[in-house]
Amino acid sequence: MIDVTDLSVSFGTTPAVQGLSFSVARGEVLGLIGESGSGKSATALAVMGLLPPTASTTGSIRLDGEELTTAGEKRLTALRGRAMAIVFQDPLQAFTPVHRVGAQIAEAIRAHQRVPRKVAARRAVELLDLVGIRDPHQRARSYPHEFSGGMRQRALIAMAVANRPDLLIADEPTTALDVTVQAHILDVLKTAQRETGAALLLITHDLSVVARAADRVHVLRGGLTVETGTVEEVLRAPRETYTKTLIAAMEAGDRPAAARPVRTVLEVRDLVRHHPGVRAVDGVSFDLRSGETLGLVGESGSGKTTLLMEIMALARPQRGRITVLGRDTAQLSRRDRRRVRRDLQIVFQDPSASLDPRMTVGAIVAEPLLTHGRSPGRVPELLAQVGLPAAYAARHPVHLSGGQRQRVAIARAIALDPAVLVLDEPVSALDPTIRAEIVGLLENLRAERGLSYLFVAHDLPLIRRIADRVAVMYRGRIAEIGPAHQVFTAPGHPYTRALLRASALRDDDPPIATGCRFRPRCPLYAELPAAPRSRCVTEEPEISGDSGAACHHHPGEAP
Amino acid sequence: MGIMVRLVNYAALIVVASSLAWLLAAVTLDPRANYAGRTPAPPVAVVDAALSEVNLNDHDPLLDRYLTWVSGLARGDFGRTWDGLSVGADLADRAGVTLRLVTAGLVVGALLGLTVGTLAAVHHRRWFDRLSGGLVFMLLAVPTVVLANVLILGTVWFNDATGARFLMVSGETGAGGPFDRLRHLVLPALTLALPLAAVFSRYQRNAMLDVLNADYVRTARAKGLPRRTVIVRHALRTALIPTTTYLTFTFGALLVGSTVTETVFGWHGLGQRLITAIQTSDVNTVAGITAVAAVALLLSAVAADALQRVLNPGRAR
Repeated sequence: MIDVTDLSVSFGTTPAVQGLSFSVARGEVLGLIGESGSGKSATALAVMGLLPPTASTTGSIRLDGEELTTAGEKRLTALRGRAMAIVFQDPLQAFTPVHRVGAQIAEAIRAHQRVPRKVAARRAVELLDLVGIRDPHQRARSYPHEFSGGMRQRALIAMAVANRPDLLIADEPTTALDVTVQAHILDVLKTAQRETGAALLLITHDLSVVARAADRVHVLRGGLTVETGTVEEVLRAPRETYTKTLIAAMEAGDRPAAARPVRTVLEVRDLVRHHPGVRAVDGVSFDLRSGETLGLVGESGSGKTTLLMEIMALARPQRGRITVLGRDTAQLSRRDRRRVRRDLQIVFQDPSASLDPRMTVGAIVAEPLLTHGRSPGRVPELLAQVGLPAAYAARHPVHLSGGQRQRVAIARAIALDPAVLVLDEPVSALDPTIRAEIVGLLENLRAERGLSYLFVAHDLPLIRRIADRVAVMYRGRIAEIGPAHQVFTAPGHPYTRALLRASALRDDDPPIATGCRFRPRCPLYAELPAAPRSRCVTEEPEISGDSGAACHHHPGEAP
Repeated sequence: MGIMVRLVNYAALIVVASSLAWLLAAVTLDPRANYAGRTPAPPVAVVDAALSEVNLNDHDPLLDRYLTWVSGLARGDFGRTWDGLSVGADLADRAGVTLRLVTAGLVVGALLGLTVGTLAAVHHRRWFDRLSGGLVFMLLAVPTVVLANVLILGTVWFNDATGARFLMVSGETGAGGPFDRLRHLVLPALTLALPLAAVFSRYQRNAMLDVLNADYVRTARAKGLPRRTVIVRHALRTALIPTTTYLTFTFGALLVGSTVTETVFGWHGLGQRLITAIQTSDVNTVAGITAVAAVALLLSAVAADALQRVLNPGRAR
């Protein structure tokens, strides 16, 4: 269906893709995998003819025998959306914000088919139904920002298959989504592909997506092809070290279980934070002990970030209690708060946004020292600890790579010798190989300095590798908490089980006012007989006993 | 926030703004000076009486004068000028004149600016972009008074050369009738419109450049929509949101800010009146014009809000 031979794309003098060849047959799924900068997206745009004018392309792209690299803009416009369609990664912006979703899908239909407005609108509703959007009539009249991330991604798929394309390209279709929703989207994508019989080019940096959905895989690195073959071949017996690194990053070994340390450094009891209309944190309790890593997982909107911000505020919470190193935050004077802040530091997700671009690395790392009246003489030592040459102190963040910037952020966080480090998705913006390096650095620092980590991440294998204990958050509450090996090998809560298996869960259910908040999505609840069900409807489950799961019906609990 | 609450807030703001203007004018201006140069000098008692008659006597207590003014304002009476004319009637006339001028200037300026800005963004760094950019900076560098006179000279030359007398270079109306008014309107409206268009086009160009790189524009192209549809329905439509807010507020500011244009073309508008009122120390006129300006600005705010609702639907505010 699509035949790419010896494709090279370069922006100015920078090559993005070099000598890439692949083909995808009708009904087949090819996974194109690689890190950012490996040329995946440039390839997709080259096929669609959507590269910016500054890019130059050589080689050949044939769609159904027709050469696309030399085709005129008019011909490409006719082919786009009809013969070939693309599903972009959705960071909120893939739909025009001012038009209704249904209208945008209908527009795609009317771009290629001479049908009346009404027919196109009806077809748009059918397509939304096809991709599993509930209440499609109503939803077609919604604006993009009224959709959740998963729903937008589904609507994009609906729009892409609207004209039954021969080739469907999905560019990182699940990257911005939560694990359980990812699984759902991949299912929808495969359904849509089956329905239309299209060839599917699946572009991702996530090996598990390829493993789940693709027939063949093509591994790219720095614009060059590293390895290609069927998914089984490549995943089972990777020939190249690069592929092996990718696979290793996906698999997880458990940490050895150890007795819990005695000293509690951070204790949270029944913490509540309600925003108007949203119960962001709704009764959360846990403790973190000295030298321990507590992994905090949960989908976006589950309240992880609000929880962290409540802890970092070092103020009196709306309800509940936060105790840092034995001091109740509600009782702190201004002076004490300043002192406690030294012991509680944070590293944010995106180092390019959390470092002031106008300050040098040295100034960034020195700032906490100066603020607390200490000598900035330690800056070179701190840089050395995070594996950066002392000369980097004079540079600005823009001149560093993503991994190096995160090292700077870590150096800043440890400058005051804190006892607790809060890590909010510290590696999720980084590529897998860099990610492994930063995780290694964090592990070493913890061992050397006896730090305690509160580690937020949505990457489950990563949490499994580095956390002693794991807390799973769901809609403002902890669904399950316990030692990592126990949570990962014998999960008690149905939500944890779904997360671990990456099972598909719906993402468009309404929030629940009483009883178990996981009920509408719960696979266990769906199968329960009426009598035990009623308890889920009326009674909010609490975390109980050793099992640590907030579920009325998990295996350790009497029915 | 409820519409009613907002309107009440706006009304309060108007009262506060014009009160401050009145107080400032009452403290700094000296209406007595209007009688100073007379020969023979009128007796102080006569001047006092005349000034008290129009509530401008600085020997009367400030608070009393203010209360008189406010209670008049509450009845819709803006007070009197130093020579006893009604401020309200005067301003009503002049507001009409200025409104015609500013509306025409703004509409032409907006259409021109939006078009040029959009085209410049679409042809980013090509000849149209460079040429329009050059013209824009030239227009911004030229003072209004120079621009107005260049337009007048050009028109006079054109009229002389062709013998036709289509465009009028002075006054607001001659023989009367809508066509005659239009002939008088073109030049002053252009004088207002061109610098406005220059500024708008830069705003619009930047807004368009932002959205032309947006993901949804790429999505629209990937659907197979023709280029023109992508630009108009997806890019331009979204880029209008920030630009219109700026545009609407300009209207409020222009209402008293087109003094130079009014003066050069002999239009007796609000901006010009404000200057003469300060010269003759007409406290009530100054406060009245401030009130009109405040109303205009708040109406602009309401209009901006309404336009946002239309252009950016479904957003929670």
